[in-house]
Amino acid sequence: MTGLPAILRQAEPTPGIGRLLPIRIGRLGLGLISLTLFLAAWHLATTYRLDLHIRFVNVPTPDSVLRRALIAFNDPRFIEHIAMSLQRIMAGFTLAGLVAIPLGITMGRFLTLRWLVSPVIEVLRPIPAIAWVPMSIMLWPSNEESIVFITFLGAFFPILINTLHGVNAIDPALIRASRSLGAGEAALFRHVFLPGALPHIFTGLTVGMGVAWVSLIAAEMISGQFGIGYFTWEAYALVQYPDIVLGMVLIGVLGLLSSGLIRLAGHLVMPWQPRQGAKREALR
Amino acid sequence: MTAIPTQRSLTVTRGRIDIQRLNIRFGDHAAVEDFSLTVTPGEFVCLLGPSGCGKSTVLNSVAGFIPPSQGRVAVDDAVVTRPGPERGMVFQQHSLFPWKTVLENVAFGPRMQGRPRAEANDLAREYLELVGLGPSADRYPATLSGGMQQRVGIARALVNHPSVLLMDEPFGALDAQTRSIMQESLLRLWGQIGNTVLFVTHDIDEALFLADRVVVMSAAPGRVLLDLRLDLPRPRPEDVFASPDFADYKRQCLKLIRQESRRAFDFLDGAGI
Repeated sequence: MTGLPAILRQAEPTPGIGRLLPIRIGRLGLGLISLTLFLAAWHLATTYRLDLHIRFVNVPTPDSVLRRALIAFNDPRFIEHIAMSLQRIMAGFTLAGLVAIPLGITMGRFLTLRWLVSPVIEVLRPIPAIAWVPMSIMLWPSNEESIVFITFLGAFFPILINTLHGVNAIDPALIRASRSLGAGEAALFRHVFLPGALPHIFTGLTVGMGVAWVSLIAAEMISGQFGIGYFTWEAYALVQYPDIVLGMVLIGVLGLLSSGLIRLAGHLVMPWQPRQGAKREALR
Repeated sequence: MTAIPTQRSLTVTRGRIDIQRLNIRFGDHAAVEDFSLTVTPGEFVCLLGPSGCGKSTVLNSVAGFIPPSQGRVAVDDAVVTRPGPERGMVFQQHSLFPWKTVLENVAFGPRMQGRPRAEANDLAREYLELVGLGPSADRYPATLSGGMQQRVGIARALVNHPSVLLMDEPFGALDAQTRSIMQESLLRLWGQIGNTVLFVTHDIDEALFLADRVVVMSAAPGRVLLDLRLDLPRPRPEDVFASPDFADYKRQCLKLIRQESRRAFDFLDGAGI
């Protein structure tokens, strides 16, 4: 963050003190307007039961969803669905990070390992997580494990590929500098490869979290008991239309929160990195 | 514990560089051919030559990054086989760890030598003061100017008490004013510490301003064309550029370098490039 105002001043043709604040307020205002318009359109379309080839006849209104939500959040069974999904996401995502980050760094460092592992990865990578569902059910003894495995797969490949890119993007001068300062192989990993790859790793984590949610919901819809995906699918089967929307909104909000958490963690772990938003403002 | 020698000792005993019949080939390309050079302890030697002449290759070989194809490189009678902190290296640019603060960058070497954190930090602070960057200890490299970054680079190399300081066009990316300030402060620093310096540059003025000895290299494959001992006063006055001796040395170097650059270009023309 240090030195940022100077960058801003240089980039802005019209100098202005506190120029950043109006930008923030403006951005927030536009965001609110956008959400309000969306809700209004939804409200109108469902209240007047529009039928414009796309049919809003059966789509629940926003306030019916809200009413359902108030009831649902007081229902321990619903809370358990959420807890289940969060638990699966945590398990799958954490495992993916624990395996993919070290593997990616080692693959980036040792060409032999990379050439050995890459072909398998490249073949498996394009397979969408949902196509893994039957195989996963065969592989794992319990339903729970197979869902976590599918979530793991969703997160694994983006994290691995980005970590690998991150290691490749490290300036060789830094490796030589640290070796001439007496760093051995272990210190090189800890002080150069890991921090050097971190920006890419966090890109991978953000993308991986998104794909993990996609995979989790798909897996829950097909093979689950409990979980938000299961809840949403079950609502359709039981003709509980407001619950469908409630499930969808919840998935959206949880996905947003989890990638926000990762971004926050990124700022905490990489204090040397200028913030994304600040960069963008400076580039105007 | 005072880490920095306060007075330049009259007899520097460490820091002899012995390069004997060094040959370095990259595949079919001969980068350095039959290059021999002996640098005595405490000497400031500039390797000067047209771009692509292999001067950085020689330096990297002394640093231990590039193994000789033939010949021998030794520092203080120990054959160089790998990089090490006793041969401090200052790179052209962007070699500081962006994720470490200035202090952590400088303390990295002592930490790698197994010193406890507090001790390494104290040492680092001392050397940051020496290069005039004490107040910037907690900043990240990205927030420093190019000249400040290079000063951190120098402190990071010196903090390990290297017997030899290897500098690979360290001021090449800086603007003219900053460069001359950096050259002066490097000489001041060297006057205090007095270790051997092997400095690579393609800038004749820089070489003549800094060095005791200027070694002019041929176009690739790099050989020694001229080994020039400068008889210029120390400490170098700022107006040394205006002295007749300086002009004379410059003429000698310029003639050789022009010749070599042209030879390199003719070679490229001949290759149909």
